[in-house]
Amino acid sequence: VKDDGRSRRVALVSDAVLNPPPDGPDVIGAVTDAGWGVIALPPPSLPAAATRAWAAGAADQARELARHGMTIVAVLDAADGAGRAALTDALAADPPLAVPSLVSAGDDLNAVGEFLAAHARG
Amino acid sequence: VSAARVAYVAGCLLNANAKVDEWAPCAGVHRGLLDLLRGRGFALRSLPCPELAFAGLTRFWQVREQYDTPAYRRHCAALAAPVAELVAADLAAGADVVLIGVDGSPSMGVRLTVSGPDWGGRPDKPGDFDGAIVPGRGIFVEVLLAEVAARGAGAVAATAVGMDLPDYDEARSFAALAGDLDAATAP
Repeated sequence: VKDDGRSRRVALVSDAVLNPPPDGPDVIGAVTDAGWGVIALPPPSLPAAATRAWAAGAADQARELARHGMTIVAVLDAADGAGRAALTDALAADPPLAVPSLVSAGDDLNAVGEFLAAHARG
Repeated sequence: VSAARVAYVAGCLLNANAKVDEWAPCAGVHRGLLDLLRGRGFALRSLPCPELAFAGLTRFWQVREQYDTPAYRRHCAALAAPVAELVAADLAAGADVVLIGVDGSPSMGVRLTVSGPDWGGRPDKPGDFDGAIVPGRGIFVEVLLAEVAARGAGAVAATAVGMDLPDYDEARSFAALAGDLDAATAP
């Protein structure tokens, strides 16, 4: 793939990262400004079977991006256990994809920023 | 649980790394779209990029006819099913739901897609591209809306950014998008 402005860095994120509370830190804004693309998991309200199917699709996209050398990480909300479990299982499916993950409060801007900065540097 | 306004956004608008070669308009998340949607109070859901996992990152510029196969439709249906379940739940909760696709895309087009019955793909000669922008939905959008309808859910407003159109003008496209969003959420 030629240079066309893409960052070659993608974060799998919980819904709480994509949709931070209006009165909280702007996590997705920081992720955006740092140049990462995101693939988001659904909100925890989605039933488990559908969440697993959603996560399987997200993992397959991540596999394809990783296959071409892109950096893939996960930024996951500690409160969304079902989403994290679904993503873990999906990434472990064949072919497994190891993804550095940060599990934190969805609105922990400092933790997210430091984690992404460390991985952006490779 | 559900927000009052929910936007289901084409995957490449939140992750430009998924775009077909040479067409990424930004590094990752489209900041202008993010600001536009959040400024209007929308919660965001990211749609999958159906082409990425099916045809791969190095897929070339394909037209709707090339993707319109039973296997690709099954792939789209598998990806669309959990999305449709969430859309149905959002609608049942009374939310205004808007799907935001990418006009000109063979998969994500909402009003316009790309057609070329004779185009087979000549990646060494992209200048020979033989396709046309035509009215119609992309394959994934068509499948997703059918999945939503099959659940007996209400109407989903659908609009698009014209990012895959040859005459794409970002300012004009986003102004039109803003108008569509306001119309979709008008009391």
